[in-house]
Amino acid sequence: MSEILVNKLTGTSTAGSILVTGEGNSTTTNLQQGLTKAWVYCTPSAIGDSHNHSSFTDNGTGDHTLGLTNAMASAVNYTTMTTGFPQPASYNRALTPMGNDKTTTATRYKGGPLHTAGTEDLPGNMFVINGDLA
Amino acid sequence: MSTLKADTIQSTSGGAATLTKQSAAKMWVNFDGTASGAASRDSFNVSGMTDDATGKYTASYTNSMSNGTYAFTTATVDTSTTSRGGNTLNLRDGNSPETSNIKLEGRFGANANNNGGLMDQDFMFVTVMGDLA
Repeated sequence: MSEILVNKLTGTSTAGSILVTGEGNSTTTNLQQGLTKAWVYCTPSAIGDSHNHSSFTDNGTGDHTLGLTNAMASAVNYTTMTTGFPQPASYNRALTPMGNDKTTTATRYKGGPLHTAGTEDLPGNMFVINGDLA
Repeated sequence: MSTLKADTIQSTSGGAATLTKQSAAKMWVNFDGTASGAASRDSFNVSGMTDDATGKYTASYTNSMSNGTYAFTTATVDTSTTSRGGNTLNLRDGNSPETSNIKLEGRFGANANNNGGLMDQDFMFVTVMGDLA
């Protein structure tokens, strides 16, 4: 196997665009577009581990805001994927992005039940962001 | 810092290069379920969105996946209905992920006496991980 050791990859035609060949050995896919731009695992009170996240704000029960280190290009165009672990013996809980509080530098989420109203602190909260960096 | 400049990266045999212990998403989309045609705001590897019915959508891929066993995640926003649980976006009932598209359904939250129903939401997200054909 050949291996290139390098600290930074840049496109020659467009700095932020590099194609990689797909697994089927025929199509190509854009490397930058496929890379996750931010992810985080957090408890109801703090970030456990993360990429491109700079801050955690507890707005109240089941209501949190996460700040981004490097901003996204648009406040509305990126995707926010979410999963939340329920408390033991609980079920039908979800973590949901709050679309009206989504900016280029922060995202806000609500944890709570799927079968009734209200918010709830979930023990484990996971977020993944895809889209374009500024 | 050393910088490697290239437009396309392949393995030495011309296939897929390995990203050490990592993989990249093969598709993602941010779309408006309330808009005509479930219009995409931004996307990667999506050739088009189809609004099949209220709360029902199809996201078609530009480059197909190699099989239907890929992983995907979905999410949608909470619209703050005070009497119901959170909204969801899921694989459409009775469907499996396909190599060329994925069929989805969005539902508003349930309460103690009523199931959630099909509903268009303004912000809906999908991400696909797996192997390209």
